[in-house]
Amino acid sequence: MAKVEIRCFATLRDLLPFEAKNGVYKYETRKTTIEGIVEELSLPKDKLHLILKNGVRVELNEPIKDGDRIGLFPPIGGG
Amino acid sequence: MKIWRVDLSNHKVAQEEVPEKYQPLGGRALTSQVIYDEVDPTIHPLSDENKLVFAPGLLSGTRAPSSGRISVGSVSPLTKGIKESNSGGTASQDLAKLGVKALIVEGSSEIDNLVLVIDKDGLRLEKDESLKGLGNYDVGDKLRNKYGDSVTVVSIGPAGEYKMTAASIAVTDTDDRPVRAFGRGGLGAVMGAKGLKAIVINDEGSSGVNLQNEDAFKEASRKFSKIILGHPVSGEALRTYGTAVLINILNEAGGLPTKNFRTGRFDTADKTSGETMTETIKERGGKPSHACHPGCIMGCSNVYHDENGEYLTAGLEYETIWAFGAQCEIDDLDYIAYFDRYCDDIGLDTIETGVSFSVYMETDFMEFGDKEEVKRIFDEEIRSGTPLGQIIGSGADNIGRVFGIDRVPTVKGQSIPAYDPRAVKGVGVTYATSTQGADHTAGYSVTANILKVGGEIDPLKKEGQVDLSRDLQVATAAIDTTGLCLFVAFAVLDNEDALPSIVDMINAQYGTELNVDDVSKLGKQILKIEREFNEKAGFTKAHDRLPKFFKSEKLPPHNVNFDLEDDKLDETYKF
Repeated sequence: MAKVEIRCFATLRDLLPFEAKNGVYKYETRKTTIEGIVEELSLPKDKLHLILKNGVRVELNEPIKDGDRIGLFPPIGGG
Repeated sequence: MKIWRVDLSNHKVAQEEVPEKYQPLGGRALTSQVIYDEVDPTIHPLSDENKLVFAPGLLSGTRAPSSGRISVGSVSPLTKGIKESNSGGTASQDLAKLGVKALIVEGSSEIDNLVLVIDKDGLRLEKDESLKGLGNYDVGDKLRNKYGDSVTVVSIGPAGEYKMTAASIAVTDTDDRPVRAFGRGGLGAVMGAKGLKAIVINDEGSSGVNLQNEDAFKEASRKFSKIILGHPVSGEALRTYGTAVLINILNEAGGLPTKNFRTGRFDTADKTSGETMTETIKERGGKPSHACHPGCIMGCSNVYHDENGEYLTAGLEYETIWAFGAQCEIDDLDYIAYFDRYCDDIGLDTIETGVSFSVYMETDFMEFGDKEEVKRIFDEEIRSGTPLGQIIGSGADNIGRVFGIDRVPTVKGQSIPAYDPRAVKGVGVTYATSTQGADHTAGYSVTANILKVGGEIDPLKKEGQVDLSRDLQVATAAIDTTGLCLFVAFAVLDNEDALPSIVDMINAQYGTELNVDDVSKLGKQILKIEREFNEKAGFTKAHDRLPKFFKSEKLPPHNVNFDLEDDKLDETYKF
């Protein structure tokens, strides 16, 4: 089991379970990749433009371990 | 179109034919070329030898989507180099419709509080003593009363009159509010030094913009709109959360400069995020999306109400929220909105002023996070131009000098904006090498570094960053010439049909036969003359460097420093 922190932003925020606060959801999972977590939480894969693990951009199949912080973003921009 | 010129030294106005070599230029290409041709690089920026050159973009005044950007060129009192500052609002469209290719303001008047009135009959100077010391909101109200509700007002607040080096020039938006600005480079001080308080533009009865081939223009413009609206960033994200949506991604990526560039994460960043801002705006009956000029199809701006549901400010942007927020360790959005309002009214660049406060927070006189003291300094010191107010309004570099602080995040005298160059190295290259001083918009490498737009380049590694920054600096200079909002770049970088549509619009409007290669040639030409101007002003390679602490100090959470070698930075301008 790995305890992870899932942080969803912008339009993805409302898709997290109710217990999530301000887009941050901490939970324990048996999944071993970000893709597994995304499927477990029923998040829309096609909307995930930016995936960050501990502040570094990664792909969906990235493995996870206890204590990881995962950030998920749809396409966004500004300046 | 004509070049309209006003000489404030002898209150003379003139309309001149456009020289052939200026015909294909607009926006930044034209302002930089005129400054290069007419101004000695070694002058004092506040002297009567300096000029302000306002030029609408090539496509401004047409129905091309989001084409309402205007450039002003000058010699900057902040960087002491050439400056192009760019604004939205309604000025660009109005000037273009009146047939103004460029407005050149030169000399300086012995009388202050002059108003330059521009309408279909030409230009004239008037004097209005009642405007003295007024903020941009009041100036606009008074001038609309006098000249009509629909005029555009370009003005300076007290900061420009005091000639503070962080002073901006305000431009009214579609709701007649002075919330768009030529923010960077202290050009409000140049306008103040000339004695010019405001420019009133009335496009009523103007002849409008002539199109050589209307059908071709319509087709290209329709195609371009579709591309912009079809891109997830320019078609959707910008209007949903505004530019402040970047707070969380930069924080997550460890590149949100916090406490004067000490860490890349701000623990309470979310209190100041685009998501929180949008929710607050909706609760209070403001507008989460707003267009700063007619024809804008991206709507990244907003209208922010206070807790009583009353209008407080508009155009609350990522950079401003960062400058007064994470950079000063303030996580109260209402205070930040108040500071934004204050900067718009008094006429100060929000980036420079926020960073100025953060450097002042390094002294024994102020603590990081002290929002009450920031408010007091705005209300009591800056507004009335006390010595402290004058210092804070004169930029981070000056504050460091006055108080003996060596942790000053500036390049060529201009404050580094909201992306830490150690964790977003591509934009670090831009900060270091831009002709404009530290300026994220000059080559926004955040696209490929962080946002996965226009490719992907690891922000923490040095590989590929110089090429990325160079390409973006060239492209940006060209876009700044068209009058198109820089945010079209999100779509342009991802869709290969976008650039040809821009070229098609220009060709249809002017009857030219440009191709996409000419765009890059133009971008390079602009950078070349800006750089040459700066060299004549005394700039060397040594000025194309970041402050030392970005090399020596590692930035948490990634514990990275800025490790691009000096000779690599020097390759940026090899083209």
